[in-house]
Amino acid sequence: MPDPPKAARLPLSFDPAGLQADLAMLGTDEWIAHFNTRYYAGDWSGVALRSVAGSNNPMYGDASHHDFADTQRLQQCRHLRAVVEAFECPLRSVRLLRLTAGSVILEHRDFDLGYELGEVRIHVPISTNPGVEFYLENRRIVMREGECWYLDLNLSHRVQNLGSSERVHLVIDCQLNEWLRAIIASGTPSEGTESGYEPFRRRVLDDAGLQEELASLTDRSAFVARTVELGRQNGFQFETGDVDGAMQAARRTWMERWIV
Amino acid sequence: MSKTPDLKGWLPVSISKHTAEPVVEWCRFGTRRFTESFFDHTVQNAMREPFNLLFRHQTSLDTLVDWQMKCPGMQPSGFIFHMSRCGSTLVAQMLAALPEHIVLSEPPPLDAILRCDRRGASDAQRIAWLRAWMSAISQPRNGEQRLYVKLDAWHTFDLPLLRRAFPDTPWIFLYRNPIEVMVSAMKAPGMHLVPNLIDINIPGIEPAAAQHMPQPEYIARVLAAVLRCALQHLVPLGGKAFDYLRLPDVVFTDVAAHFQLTLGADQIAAMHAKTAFDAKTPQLFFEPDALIKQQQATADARALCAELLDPLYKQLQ
Repeated sequence: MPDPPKAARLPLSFDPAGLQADLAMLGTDEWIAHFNTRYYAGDWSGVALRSVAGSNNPMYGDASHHDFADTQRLQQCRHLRAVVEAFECPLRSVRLLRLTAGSVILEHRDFDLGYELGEVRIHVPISTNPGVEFYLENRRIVMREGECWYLDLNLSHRVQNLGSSERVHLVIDCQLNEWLRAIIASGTPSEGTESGYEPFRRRVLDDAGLQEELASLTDRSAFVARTVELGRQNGFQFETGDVDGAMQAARRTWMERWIV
Repeated sequence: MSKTPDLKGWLPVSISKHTAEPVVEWCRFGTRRFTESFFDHTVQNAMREPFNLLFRHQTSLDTLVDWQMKCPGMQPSGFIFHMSRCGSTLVAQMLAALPEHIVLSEPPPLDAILRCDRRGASDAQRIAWLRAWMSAISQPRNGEQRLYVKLDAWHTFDLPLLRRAFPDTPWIFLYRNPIEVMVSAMKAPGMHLVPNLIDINIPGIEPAAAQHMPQPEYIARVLAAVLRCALQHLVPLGGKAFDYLRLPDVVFTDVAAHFQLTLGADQIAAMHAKTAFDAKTPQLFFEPDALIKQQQATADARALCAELLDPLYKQLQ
């Protein structure tokens, strides 16, 4: 059997309007912040729809537990329930995860997930916006409302919501079975688009016009600002900190080039 | 490293020695000239610019050869070999005073190519890379017409290969009263005067013996090896040797003649202006130091000179 893709859009889709209607029923006090504040900046929180029996903490998906149960909330949200019921495989935790406008999930890997481990995570975007940027191994993957995605989150990934509205995904943790294997295999694999500073750097090396413009800037901060700007204009997303970091690393490498 | 990028306006300013394969680093140099006392000082200055720090092409040595075919540069018009601490930087600075000259002073990439023998590269391979590097680095960016290269002192040992690579390039060898060179070298020895600091074979010195040799003796023996090598090749390989004592005036006469360089009054004035300053620290005025250096010589250094160096010095004179 071929290697599973890093990301694939599955041949399942759902009506975003219905899912959003369910979402609207939730009270603001139902969202529980993610416990690991080292992972994010801003507001990253969730609502449990299926969790370790007796726990309503959506962020806590202990791999050692096997006794997951639907929460009452799921019973009340029929559109969400229909999505969950479409999965013909054993389910573990199911939750809504919300990243508010301006919030960022830092790059990390989820080591308890993996195709080989038999535990995979499915995302169904319910509410999102074009300013949401999700990167899997530095490649941007755009997921639209109502779509259904398999993602290998054992690989490094990060999210930033640069838009002005919240991003809410239905996140379903599944145990692999034949049905799920087949549906992942029949999905549309996505390579994502290269983004970030390093691909832009390579692009500049191929483009005499970009070289001309950037080489004329000898003032460091003007150079950094323009690099970020030209990156955006050409579809590469990175921040001034990325350029500063690259410059520091480049200086160090250059100074150490004679050291064995 | 697969496809050859468009390297117009880029110069191969560095070649790595410690990587699995040599990596050529290309820097976008604009109209910047090599006017600092040493090639690497100019490169370091270029590398202060954010663009150069972040954007460099990295290629294999063979890309140099491809690029030479697409975009040939200049043949060197003169090589300056030397025994170190003998005015070679001054001569390079004088030549660099003229805007129509590209002058490369002890360029490390050239050394990196020569030292590819350590990786098992054949002479033919090294010759091809040397020619290709010279062609790429000498792309005129300000209408320059002539290229001069001042080599590292230990490249005197590589004279036969360099002659094969550039048979039409005239070369000179600069030397100085050995006691003055010894005093200068003992204060701050050049890289080739510290045992095994750089990976070269010194003819006549066993690397194992070098480790146990007192520093003054090692310096004297390396200097002697350089002088002996220059003497050996001078006539057969068509070089001319010049004593420090004849600097700077000899540059305008015999050196210029050997390099087939015709100088006008303005050019001589521009070159002469350089002689007022210390060649390696141009912020300082030049101070004659032959007498001071002779007075500072230890008995040890004098004895070593008398035994190992003075006879070679007399022969060169």
